[in-house]
Amino acid sequence: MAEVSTLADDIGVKAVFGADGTATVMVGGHAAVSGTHARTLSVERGSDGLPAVKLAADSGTIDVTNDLGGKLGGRMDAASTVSGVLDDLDTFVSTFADEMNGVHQAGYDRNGDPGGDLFTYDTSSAAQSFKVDPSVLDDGKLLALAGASTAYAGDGDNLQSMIDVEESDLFDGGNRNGTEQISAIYSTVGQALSSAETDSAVHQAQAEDLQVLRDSISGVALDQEATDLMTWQAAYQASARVVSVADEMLGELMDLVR
Amino acid sequence: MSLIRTTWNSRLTSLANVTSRIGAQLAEAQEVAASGAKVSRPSDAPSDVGRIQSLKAQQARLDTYADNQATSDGMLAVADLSLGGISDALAQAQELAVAMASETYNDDQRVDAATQAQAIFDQVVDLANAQVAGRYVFAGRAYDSVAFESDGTYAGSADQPTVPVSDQLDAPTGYDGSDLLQGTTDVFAVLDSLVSALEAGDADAVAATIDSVASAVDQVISARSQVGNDMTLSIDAQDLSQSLQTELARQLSVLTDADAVQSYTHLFDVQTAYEAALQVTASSKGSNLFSLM
Repeated sequence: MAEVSTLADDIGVKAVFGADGTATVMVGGHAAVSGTHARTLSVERGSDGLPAVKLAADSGTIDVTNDLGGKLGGRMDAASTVSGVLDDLDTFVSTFADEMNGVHQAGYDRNGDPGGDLFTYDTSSAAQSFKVDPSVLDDGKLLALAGASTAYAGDGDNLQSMIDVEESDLFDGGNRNGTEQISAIYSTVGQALSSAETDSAVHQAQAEDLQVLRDSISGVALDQEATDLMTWQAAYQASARVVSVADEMLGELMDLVR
Repeated sequence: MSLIRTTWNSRLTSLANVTSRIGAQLAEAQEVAASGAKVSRPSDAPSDVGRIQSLKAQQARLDTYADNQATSDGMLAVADLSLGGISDALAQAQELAVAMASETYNDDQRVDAATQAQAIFDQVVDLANAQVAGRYVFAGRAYDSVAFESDGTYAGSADQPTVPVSDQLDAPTGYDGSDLLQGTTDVFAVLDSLVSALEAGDADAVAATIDSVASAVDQVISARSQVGNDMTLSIDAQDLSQSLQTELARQLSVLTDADAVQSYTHLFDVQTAYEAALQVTASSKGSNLFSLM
């Protein structure tokens, strides 16, 4: 019983008890433990980079990742949500960096040469690897802020074009600018967190109710035990009294016979 | 109707859960009361996050505008002072020209006065090369190098550097010196003519420069007026920017700041509930029928 409870806590298994008291432990409709037979659960890296939980079957494995509950299911859900947000961030960063690089390349640096890349990133993890191009960091003169090859110190025409990128509707199919897009991502995170907090509170309350119900069946109620004890004590004392009276009666009868 | 048996374990668990929940509420209420902010993380107000971010972005932009404004103000103030100095120097040149054109002075005295005129010329070049933090005010966009050569040749660019000080307005951070000082009348050419005429000791030639010098004075006064106009626009933009800052701060405060009275009242209520929960938990330890036996 305690093991099933722990498994339910950890991965959200469900147990079906037979008439003989044995439990069949189910993971998302698949029997993981049945009688004396158990199937192996394993973790593999999925094609999306997220962990996938597999249940061994007669031929190969069954993916039960989406059927998991409990702590692990919660963490998998969280990982999936975070992964979605990271994808959005990657798209945001790569779109922004590409646009800025295009504008930067259209300008001229202080040497009068056309600009190169302003930002670099690794396409596999744009948000994580996003940074200013090292050559620009090393030499500020390579910032292509000028709009003409004369590249006067006060020529900020291309800088203005770069600033204007902020207001360009580059995202969401041309419907959002950078600020709106990052706000939308931020809002998505907030919404997911808020929903998770609400879900957690609801599930917590449900879990507490179920715990009370379970304990009411399998637990020990001290008040009830005390009441029962008093009842049995009274019954025992009454029985003892009956025996005592009977003994006395027998004694009296024996005396009469004598 | 079936009754649910309340076990000792479930009673303690329930008490612990309630105490824990109220403890979490207490921590949250303390955070709000201490920080004065009702939105500390996105989940506190997901629907307002976009608006809050947008307001913060606008605030950041206004901060940048304010920095730009300060830069422009500094440049404009120096430009105004320099043009004032150039105007004074030209007035001196005008007086010198008028005096030396008269027959009161002889040729030798005019030749001597040429030194004074050359000094005025040099002073005007010096003033026209005014700098703020290494930036030449009258060099146009080429402000990292000298605006005028020592002979008065313009070495800057024929355009004006500007910075945005509001969504609609750009303020100058320098001027095209050739436009201000060599537009209608070339201030340096006029002064150079005066020096040459004085060096030649030629009274008629000196007299011929008087009108030109007067035109140069008018030109500089006009330039100074342009700078003054820019300063007025800058002050207007500053006022507008401050009004916007105030309004943005107000809107942001409505979305993110907690009401002090409300937050402290809530904190007090939750604190009371928490203490009550702790007391109930403590007193429930021996509260079963066994303790009465």
